[in-house]
Amino acid sequence: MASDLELSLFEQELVEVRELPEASRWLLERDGSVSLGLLVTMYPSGSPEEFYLARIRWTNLFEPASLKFLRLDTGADDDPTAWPKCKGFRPSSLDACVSWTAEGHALHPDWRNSPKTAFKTRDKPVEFALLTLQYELDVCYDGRGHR
Amino acid sequence: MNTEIQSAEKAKHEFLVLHVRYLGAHRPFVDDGAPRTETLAELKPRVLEFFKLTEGGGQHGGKIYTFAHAGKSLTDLSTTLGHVAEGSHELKLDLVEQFEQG
Repeated sequence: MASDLELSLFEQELVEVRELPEASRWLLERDGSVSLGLLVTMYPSGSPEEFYLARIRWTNLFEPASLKFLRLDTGADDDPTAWPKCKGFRPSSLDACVSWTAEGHALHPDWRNSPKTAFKTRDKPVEFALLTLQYELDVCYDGRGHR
Repeated sequence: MNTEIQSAEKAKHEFLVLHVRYLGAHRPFVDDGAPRTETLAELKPRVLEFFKLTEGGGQHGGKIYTFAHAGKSLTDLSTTLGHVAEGSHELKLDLVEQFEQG
């Protein structure tokens, strides 16, 4: 269960991230089914017609977030075609094996053991997750996943 | 034009106001007098030191840091700040963490 500090910071950040220049490209809403979660629709700058609905959830706001992509029409979270292909993203496995996601660290528990690979807690975890995901889409995007 | 104005004009053309945002950090790196001739390679150690970051790989991979501008990664570290800023007196960069798996 999220602490009061986490909930307070999350609420504050939800307001602040909407003021970011990048937020003009997002459809951002709270994921009401969990304490610390959001849903955001984004697109790669090079493919503005390709929309992706990301679900970002934290069990602990100061740890890596869980990242999943959902179908825009149904909200289903089990469709590889809802995923963008980016560095470390694995649409066929429905996960992103990168150092800033919970899924990446679940696959590589050894990453915690070295400062070179451990997750560095951020002052603004929500901003970090959103901007990092947007960066991945803008810079590393390589098309849509397939079944 | 008097000497003071000439000096101010010269400084304006030789230096720029640099902001580097490290994603998720409270405070940005700010340099009000960054030389336009400074390369990204020269800038990088200053910025990593400010954010207390260490770059490096290893057997299990490691973190690398890349500058980005306007949603584009700046991979050529010989590029100067003036080139990235074009004619602008202000430059805003992002410092992005990436992970290279070993």
